[in-house]
Amino acid sequence: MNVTVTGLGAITPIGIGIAKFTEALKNGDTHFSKILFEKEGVDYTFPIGNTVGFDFREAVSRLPLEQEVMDRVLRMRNLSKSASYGMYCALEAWCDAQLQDAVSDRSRVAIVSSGSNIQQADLYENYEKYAHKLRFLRPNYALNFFDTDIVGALSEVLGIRGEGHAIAAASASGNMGIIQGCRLINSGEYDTVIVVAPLMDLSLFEYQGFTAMGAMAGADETTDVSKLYRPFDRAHAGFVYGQSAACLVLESASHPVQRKQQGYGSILGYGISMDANRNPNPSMQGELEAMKKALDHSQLRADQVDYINTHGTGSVIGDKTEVEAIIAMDMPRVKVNSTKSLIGHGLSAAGAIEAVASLLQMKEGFLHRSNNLDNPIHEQVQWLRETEYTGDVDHTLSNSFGFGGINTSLVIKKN
Amino acid sequence: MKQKVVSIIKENLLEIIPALENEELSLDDTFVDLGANSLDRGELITMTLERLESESSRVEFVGAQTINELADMIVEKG
Repeated sequence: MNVTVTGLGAITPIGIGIAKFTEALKNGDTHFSKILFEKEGVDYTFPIGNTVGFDFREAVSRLPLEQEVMDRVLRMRNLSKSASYGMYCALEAWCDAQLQDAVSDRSRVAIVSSGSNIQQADLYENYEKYAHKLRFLRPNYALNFFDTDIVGALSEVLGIRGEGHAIAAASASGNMGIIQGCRLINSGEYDTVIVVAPLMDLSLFEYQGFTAMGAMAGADETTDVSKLYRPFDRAHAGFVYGQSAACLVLESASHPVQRKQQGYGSILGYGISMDANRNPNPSMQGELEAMKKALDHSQLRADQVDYINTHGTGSVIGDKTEVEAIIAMDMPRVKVNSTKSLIGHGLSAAGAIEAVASLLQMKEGFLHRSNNLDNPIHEQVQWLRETEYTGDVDHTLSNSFGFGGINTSLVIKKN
Repeated sequence: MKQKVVSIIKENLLEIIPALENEELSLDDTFVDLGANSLDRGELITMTLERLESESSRVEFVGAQTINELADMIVEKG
């Protein structure tokens, strides 16, 4: 494959913007707390990796955007929280890639947004607010509820005239967006693809649903949330949601060379497989298949992989299955961590923010620690536990698996 | 009554198009000339009716082209 990553954008609980996120990964920071809801006189408590201090207008104002673009962004109304996170990340990545003057033909640029049903909190707020006065529901609702609202808004701000759409694969949506971007570039139809993964903004219903299913770790007033989320640890008990958004600017390999832009790395290949299973439970065979396909596609041997950025959600069966698949891959040198252990599970944005984390670690030559990995479920894996690793990381495998038996794996090479 | 309606329409219009903040707003400029697209005009009507807790339907007012026209129609239909 022939795809270079030239620009990154990120919002996470441990850092807003690429510079702060990189520092926080090096430090192995975390930021977990609890979120409280009240409904019909009943209180609900859930754990959360929460992002605080993001002010859309203030954050965008600090980006080195052309005045005309800046004016268009700041004029935008009715961006949901999800879309505003996505918009910031996309603009940060656009500036980072230095594409402002480099793209003369904006019909050669495409936008892919990762995830479906990503604005649930916003929709729920509307249902509540207008439940008893529905005739005053704002007409904008019919525009904003689509997951593609971010696609249209971003195209307007940046003057993009290629194609745009949203692509979804449950918790593998982030990886699927990147894969879709690679396919668009490899088809020769586009030089540049902006892959954006807006915040998956949960309402009370999704928190309660994930908890009822047993997928989300439960919390009450006595829970120490700093100790709750423990991917691959023997005491793991489900995932903790984390508020993240990300963007990767993908370009055909020759495109950034023209403006002497080296980029962070390349997407060498990808693997996708399904388990023929509608349910949330994972399959070792399916995960193994996705990883093998990704290596084959990249023309890489298993012993050339330095690092796996795991799906690593902290689900008992999910962690066990992924470890079995990793061991079956027989990658003797491979080091393993869980970015989710630091930032929580971004759901539809997880694959994208974890690809960003992988690229940042490779560029800076380190691998971050895994939080709360005190007693790993398996000893046959080189876990990055309390201390970070410093050194070259040339090839990364980044896994994302979704409900409905959707398995994806990316191979990323350092530039 | 009309004065109150006009001032609510103006406030809502400024919320929809903040760039009008420092402009001299003529009550007879068309919404289109003020930079409001069709969705903005729909928002303006709905927001105004909500503030007035009007029982009228939004569609009764879609023909209004200016602040004056909209205010007159709202006062007339209640």
